[in-house]
Amino acid sequence: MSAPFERLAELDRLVHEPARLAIMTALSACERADFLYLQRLTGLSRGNLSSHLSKLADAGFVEIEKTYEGKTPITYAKLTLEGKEALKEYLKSVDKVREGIRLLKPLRTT
Amino acid sequence: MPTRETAALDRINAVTANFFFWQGLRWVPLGIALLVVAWSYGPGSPVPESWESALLVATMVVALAASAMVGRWYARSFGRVRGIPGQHARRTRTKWLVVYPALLVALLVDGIAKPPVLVSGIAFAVAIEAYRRSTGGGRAHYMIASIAFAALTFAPTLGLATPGAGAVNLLIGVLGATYTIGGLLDHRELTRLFPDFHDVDTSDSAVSCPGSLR
Repeated sequence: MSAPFERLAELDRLVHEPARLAIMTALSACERADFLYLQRLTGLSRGNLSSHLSKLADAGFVEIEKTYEGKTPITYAKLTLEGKEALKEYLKSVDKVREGIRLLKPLRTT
Repeated sequence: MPTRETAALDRINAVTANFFFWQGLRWVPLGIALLVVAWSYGPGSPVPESWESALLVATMVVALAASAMVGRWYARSFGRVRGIPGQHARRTRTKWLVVYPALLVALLVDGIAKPPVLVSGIAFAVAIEAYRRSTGGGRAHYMIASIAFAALTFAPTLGLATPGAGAVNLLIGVLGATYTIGGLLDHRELTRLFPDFHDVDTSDSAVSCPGSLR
């Protein structure tokens, strides 16, 4: 088994960032969610949320769909299969890090 | 990942997957309608017997319309989430094939056989706990409601309601109160989960965590 630090280095930084992790977790629980929902969930400003969604979209983890409901423009975000896989892998890696930490024996100081 | 963060992610997952049910204010008009119905059918009600059915229908129509309006307000204020098709198929099947028929049978037993205990009390207690667990957990107020319904089972035995229609009417009143208070508390939990808007630096080097991840 590799050391916890090596495991830490393997964590997907794109997913690891808390706001993006929250976005991806939310999107993994639904077919799609709109921009407003994600904004309320994360408390991010429009600009920041846009920036995070763009990064996720650029990586192919999220699909953005702009549509109208009546006259209201709505932006939906959806987790792609690649995004679901990345989130799954990330959570697996975190579990391995936790397992590694649990197995570490404390150093004797005397 | 520390347990607190894992719990926060679980919460986000549970609320998003069950967003409809956490929009608590949707249930308040229905709760008020049930309270009105229980009052109109209750002892000493000034509503003439011939008006009771019409009042029941009118109250329910108004409550459903109000609930739909509240739903539109939630969409405008909290956003829209589309569930994964078939995600809750098991829950839906259980609800229609087991829970609702069991509640109906319990109400019929209480209304027709007039047993000395309110069978519907324990049936609703189990149904409410099942509802809480299957719609994202948390919300301790539903555990309290479930205990209240279980206690209601003994209302006829303790002389708090006459067996039969009186006891069922009491149950409808408590159900109305549960919808109303539970709905308000659901809404409070939802607003607690969603932080206020704020402009923060969330670049990778200066990360600010969202909501309970903070």
